[in-house]
Amino acid sequence: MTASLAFRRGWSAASRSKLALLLMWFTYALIAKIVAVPAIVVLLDPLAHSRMSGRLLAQFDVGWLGDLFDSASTAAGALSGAAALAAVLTWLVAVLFACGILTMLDEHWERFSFTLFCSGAGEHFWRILRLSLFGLVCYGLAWGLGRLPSILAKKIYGEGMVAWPLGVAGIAGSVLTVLLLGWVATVLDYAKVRLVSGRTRGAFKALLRSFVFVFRHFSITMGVWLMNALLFALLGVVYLLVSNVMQPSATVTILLLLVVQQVFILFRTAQRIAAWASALEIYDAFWPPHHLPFEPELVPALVVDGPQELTAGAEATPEPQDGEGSDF
Amino acid sequence: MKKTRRPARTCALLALFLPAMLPAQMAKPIASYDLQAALDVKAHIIHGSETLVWLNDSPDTVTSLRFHLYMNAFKNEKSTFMRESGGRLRGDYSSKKDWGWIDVKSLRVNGGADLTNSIRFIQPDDANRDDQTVIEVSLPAAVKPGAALTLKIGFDTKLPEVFARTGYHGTFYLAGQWFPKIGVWETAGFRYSQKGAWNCHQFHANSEFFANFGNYRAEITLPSGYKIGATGELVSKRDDAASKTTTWTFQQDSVIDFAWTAQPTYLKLERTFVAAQETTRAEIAKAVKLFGISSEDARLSDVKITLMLQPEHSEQAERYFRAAIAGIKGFGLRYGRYPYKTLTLVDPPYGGMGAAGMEYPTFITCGTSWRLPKDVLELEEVTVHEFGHQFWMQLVATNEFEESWMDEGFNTYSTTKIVEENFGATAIPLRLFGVEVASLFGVPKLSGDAQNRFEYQMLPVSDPILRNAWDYADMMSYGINSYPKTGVFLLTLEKLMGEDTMARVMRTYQQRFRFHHPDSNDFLKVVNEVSGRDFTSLFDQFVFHARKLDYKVDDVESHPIGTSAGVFDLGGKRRTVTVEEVEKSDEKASKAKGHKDLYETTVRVRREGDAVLPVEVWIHFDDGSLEKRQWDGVDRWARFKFQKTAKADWVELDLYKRHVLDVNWTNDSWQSQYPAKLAVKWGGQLAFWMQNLVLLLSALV
Repeated sequence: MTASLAFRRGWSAASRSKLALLLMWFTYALIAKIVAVPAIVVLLDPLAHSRMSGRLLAQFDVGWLGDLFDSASTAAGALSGAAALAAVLTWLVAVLFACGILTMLDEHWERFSFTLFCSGAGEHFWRILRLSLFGLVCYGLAWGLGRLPSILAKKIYGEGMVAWPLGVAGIAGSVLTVLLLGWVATVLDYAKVRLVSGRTRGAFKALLRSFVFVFRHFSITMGVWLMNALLFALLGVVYLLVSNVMQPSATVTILLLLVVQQVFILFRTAQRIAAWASALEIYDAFWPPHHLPFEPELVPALVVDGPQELTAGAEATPEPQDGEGSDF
Repeated sequence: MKKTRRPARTCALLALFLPAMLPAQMAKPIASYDLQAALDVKAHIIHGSETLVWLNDSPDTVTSLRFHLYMNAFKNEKSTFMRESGGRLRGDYSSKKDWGWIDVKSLRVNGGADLTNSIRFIQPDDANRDDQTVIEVSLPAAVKPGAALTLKIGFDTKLPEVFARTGYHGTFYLAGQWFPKIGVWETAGFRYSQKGAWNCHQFHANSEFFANFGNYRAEITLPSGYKIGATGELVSKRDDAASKTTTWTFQQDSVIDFAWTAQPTYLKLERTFVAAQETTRAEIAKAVKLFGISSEDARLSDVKITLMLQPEHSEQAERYFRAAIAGIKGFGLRYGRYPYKTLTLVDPPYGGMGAAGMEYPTFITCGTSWRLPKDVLELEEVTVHEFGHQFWMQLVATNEFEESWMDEGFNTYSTTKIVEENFGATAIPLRLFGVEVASLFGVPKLSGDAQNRFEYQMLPVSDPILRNAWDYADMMSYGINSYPKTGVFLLTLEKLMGEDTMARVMRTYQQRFRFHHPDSNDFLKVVNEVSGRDFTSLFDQFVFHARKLDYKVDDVESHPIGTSAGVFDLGGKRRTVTVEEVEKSDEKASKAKGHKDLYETTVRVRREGDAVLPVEVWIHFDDGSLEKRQWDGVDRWARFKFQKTAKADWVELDLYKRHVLDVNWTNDSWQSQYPAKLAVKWGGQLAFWMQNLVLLLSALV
């Protein structure tokens, strides 16, 4: 198992997970609307029938923000409530999706089953929720560590007359912060995999063991993360360049931009699924075997007098043939 | 050395207060200083002495003197400055570890009485007994009208760790307001004075300075190896191997202050602004035509520019020079040539930025940051702005304590024009891992006018523009009223009278009051005189009072006019027209060939604010016709009615956006169409960015 192989397999799994992808995209889009819709009402209400709207359509005018200042201050309270609700919903839904989709991925591309999704969500929800809380602490520590270069530089050079050491430390700190946050995110993904696939019950234990696992297989685990991060950065830059060039004020270009935006969002959503799928691949490759074939519990047969044909077993249901589509 | 130096010093003193003996002075010297300073770099103390020649250029007999001791503002937390600022100014903090102060060791009338023991601290503004930034001393013999008084003052000035424009940081020194400065005697009729009195305010957190013109000469002794920049021209340099010091002598006539800087590691770079090369014949001709002046008056002078640059900003040297050149040329062509021969730019170090962004005669402190991106124009803006202060308040020396708008606001208005003309709009600094990404994210650049208006909108009516600096509601009100609100006010004035007329107003004001001390009423008089119109009401509402300007299109309706139902007396006969008859008649008429419905359009506009300005109301109809009405704005609302075979499709107040002071342009117009495209575009953008945020949050789970 290599990082690139895991990366490719992860994306392969994501590309087969169309229903799951659409479900995630749709759910997150709805949550985003909780903030976006009231925000757009706040922004557009003063514009309503103003001719300023035409000017803003042609080119954004920063001065208009000053016009908005008065009404925005009163709307801020309502918007912050919507934002808080959206944040909480995102968190809960993210946990649900992690449980459900990981369960289905772990079952190796079976037909999308809402029942399977829900059973996975139900079985693992609280453990992964607890894991996400531990994750917050880890993110906090990572962020704090990321600030160390700036803190150290300030201690050494803060009283000096040159700014470049602090500038360099700031840049280094930003890079370090992103890497540390990525590392924590990767560890959390493996912890989720361990909880779902490894049937572990303890969230904290899963977290600790995942730290060890990621550390042991650093180049592969973080290699996949890095590839995904670079892919995101590349497509992000491409999107920004394209959207800047498009300058939409015609109906067609506006609609085209909306399509391009949603394609980018779908890519990001698929990247989540791909990351989980890659993690499962690597976990399966390196973790001590946990997928033992199911061994039925041996129970002594009840021997009764009577014709044997009356105690025969039930008919088995036919198994699906290889190649029959899984469409989740 | 003393015997041989005395005759030379006497000649210098004579030269200071007998202008008739010299080539024509630019300003009448009222307060002239001969300064000696020796910097102790270990203790950060300037051991100084000054010979002050003060001319009583008034009809009053003056019996006492008042001096500013600005450096005592940083002596302790009880000073007026520290109480008002809380130890914080313009984003910089006082370390509160290394304080600043100034002690007057001796004060004697030359060849006369020792007044040292009669010095007393006074607090003319706020009765804060702990504030020691103003002293008064009674004179044994009054100074008669027209007489000159020579004083010898010995002092020690301790520089603080850089704070509020002055101090030291490491080996960097910026000596501003470092010597005892005499106040300004205002006789009756001078500015707002009712009777002869000293104008000598305490040093407040929001205030700057005010002084008379004079001739300055300064000898500054530093450890050898230190590089120095100062007001004026370098006259001589003398090394003393024994004490390992160097004494630098600078001189500048017709200025109101003297500042200097020193640091051993400065990169000292020089460039000359050669007027003949930097200006074209077309530019001179344009100025000649616009202002009705001669080519000689329009022409600029050469200026030697010295840049005291931090080594880690060495790649930004060219930007500094280009900004200074843009300032010398831009201000010069607009308001008259810069009259001095030198200009020194100071680039403070990291940790010394409390000294950045300040103006002294022929000497400005600018400021930049490490690896400042090319399209973030902070360096250019601050350099042009600080240079601009040479015109607004170093040459036209207004009282910054009492009328801060007349230097900061005027300069904001002027700087915006010159920066935009030479460098365009500025990018908003947005970096990711040290890389500038604002343009990648499509963040638009910000013009100076947009920036000023936006800042003004944050606090449009907290205070009148004109107010004592320490009397504003808070620091934010001082800042907004003095800078962007004045910039917006002057821009409104320009749009109301026309750009060319405004240019003539500003040049006339600069030329008329150069080397003088005008007040707000003087400027108003020039405005009315040159424009030929009366703008007193505008000044009254925004400068002398705080009114809010906000007009709004309240309601627009277009109703079809058809036949009416009811009882009518027609041709002597009474006839009743029923509703059914009306409907039939209208239906028949609408089917007639060439029929056009007649509409009555009612437009109601409203004055939301309390400022009253005449405004144009433009109404456009869907047949392409355009109507314009004038409204004086006196009543709270006004209604306009039209009968046309067309409906109104848009209405706009102040179509050409002359009322930049209007706090809300969005409600100034109406259109019949709902901006569906904008809703879709912005709705989509907003939803997209929210989705990205949600995905980011979900990835952290």
